[in-house]
Amino acid sequence: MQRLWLWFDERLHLEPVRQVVLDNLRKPVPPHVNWLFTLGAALLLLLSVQLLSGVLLMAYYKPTGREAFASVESIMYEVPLGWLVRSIHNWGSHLIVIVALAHMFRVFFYGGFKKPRELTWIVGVGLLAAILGFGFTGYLLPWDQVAYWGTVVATEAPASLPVLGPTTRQFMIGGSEVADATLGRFYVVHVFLLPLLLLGLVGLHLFLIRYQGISSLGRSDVPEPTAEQNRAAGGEPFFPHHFLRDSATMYLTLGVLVTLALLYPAHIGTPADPLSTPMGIKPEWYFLPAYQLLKYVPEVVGVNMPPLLLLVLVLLPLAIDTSPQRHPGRRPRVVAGWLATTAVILLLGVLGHLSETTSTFFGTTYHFDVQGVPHRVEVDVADDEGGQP
Amino acid sequence: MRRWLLMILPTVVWAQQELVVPPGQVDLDDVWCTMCHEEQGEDFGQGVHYQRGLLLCNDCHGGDTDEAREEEAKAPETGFIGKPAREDIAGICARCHKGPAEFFRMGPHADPADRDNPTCITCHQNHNVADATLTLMDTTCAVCHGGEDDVALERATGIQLALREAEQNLHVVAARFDSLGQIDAGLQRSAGLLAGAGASLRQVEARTHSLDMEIIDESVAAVDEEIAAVQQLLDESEASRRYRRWAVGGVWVFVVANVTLFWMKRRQL
Repeated sequence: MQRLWLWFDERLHLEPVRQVVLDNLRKPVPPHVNWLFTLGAALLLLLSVQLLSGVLLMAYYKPTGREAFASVESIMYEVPLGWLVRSIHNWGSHLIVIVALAHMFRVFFYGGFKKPRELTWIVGVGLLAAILGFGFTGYLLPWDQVAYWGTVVATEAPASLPVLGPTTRQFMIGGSEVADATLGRFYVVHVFLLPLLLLGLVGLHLFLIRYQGISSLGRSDVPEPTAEQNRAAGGEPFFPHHFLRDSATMYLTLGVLVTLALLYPAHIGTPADPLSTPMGIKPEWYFLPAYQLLKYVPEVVGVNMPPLLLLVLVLLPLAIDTSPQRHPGRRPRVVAGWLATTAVILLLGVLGHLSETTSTFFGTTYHFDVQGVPHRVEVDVADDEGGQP
Repeated sequence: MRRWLLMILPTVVWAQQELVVPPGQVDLDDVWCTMCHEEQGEDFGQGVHYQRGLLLCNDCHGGDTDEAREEEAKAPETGFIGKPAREDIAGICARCHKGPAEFFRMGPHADPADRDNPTCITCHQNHNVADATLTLMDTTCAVCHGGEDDVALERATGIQLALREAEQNLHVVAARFDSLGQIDAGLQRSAGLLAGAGASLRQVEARTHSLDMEIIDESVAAVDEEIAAVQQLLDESEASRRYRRWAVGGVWVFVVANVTLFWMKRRQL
């Protein structure tokens, strides 16, 4: 190994580069860094798994309306371990959103997005948008009924935008209806454009984090502690100390992912049929709030909400939370706004999940209409009798 | 008040006994035949042919049920045949029940000229037709056949046992399929196999009319094979789930071992 390194070093003079990298890796992290700071590593692992499993799936997947469903079926039932790879890819897509949101919450509450790390945050928001884009485009690829009709509903929303709406939709789906052309477009975006964007953004995000280091807990207008000050305050080197913690989280994440994939393999429904609309079509859980919102507000408003929310996130360090305070207790308005928005999004998500279903709570059955409003349909007989004197 | 109650009581009782008109079916009060053939109408109203919205009087007897005048209702051009002749009964039933009729013709009761032989309506009734189930044999065969060593009754019992066993097997396998289908979505691809076994069993039910143990045993064996194929699929699904659980165990041993290693390494630093 040493000889190989010398061979390269003699020709490329890599030693100074190595020294810079090692110095950077050994830079101590602030003493407050804990397990919550390993969520980014978990996200990195999940993205890598998605990339790898996605490449494996690409070897068998055929992105045409006639072959897509059959190829996914073949991946599930014929290709050796195909079901596991697809299930890992499927569960990975859900876990990524959960971990990305958790990571974002951690950064928000620790005030890590504040000066001078606004760019890291903005790139992170871009990554979140890319992840959601992956979810949106990947949803259609199995070409089963749920995928097909879910995409029909989701792509109809932008058409309601004034002036450019219909053209936008046509550009998105490559025609007037979700068909072969849509599948082709979504596939190219899912397996080429978004991964390219993602790799670029992840690289930039990681570079910025390593270049600027982890933020302190102090005010953002006070010079940050130097490496020596961090070391003196009990901060451990990133490598190997924090790296070992990151690795542990990555292994645990991998364990959860593989467990879910093994015990609850991905599902495939019936082939897409543009002539028969199934009942109760809903998007992925992370798009449910946006889907539900469209039922309460005019479409023009509803459609613009998700991109507007991303814009708000971009503007957070630039125009919304510009105070130098990092501690959440010292910026109560922004934290309250964040929590209130989260609560509304959660509520919309729950309503979206419950809408057009019938569920029983405490012995009483309710039918939740399109807007998620419960209507009592029947009282459990046993409970009713039990309630009588 | 009490007088009032006494007055409305018969109305309430009568209303409760009133015939249920199934959706899509004609109310028998609007069928002119029942004006004179009241008893037959009442019986027919209780039967499966009416309750499932399948038939009206004219489907077997001909005639026009919407016509109030008797001569017009029973005119020859309406295909009116009145009470079907004994030898025509099997043919009339066979218009819909082709399978049972085909096997009935192969059985010992096939000859309608023999007055000792039953026709379709001897066991299934003519107007108040009951659902054709195996329990029907409990009461109908013994009407003519009797005695401890009666071969016919023994055969009937044998047929019932064979079919009941197949039904039971199918029921068990279907319940298992449902419960495993909740956790193994891939099983839905094989739902056709289960449906196929069910369809085959229904065909065997038609074959009971042959009263031929050889035919029935052969058919039941074919159904059993289909059920066994589903069973094997379910066994494979369960085995695969078991292996996957072991794999999960292996994954976590690997994860915990590595995390412990990292933790120990960190402590040594």
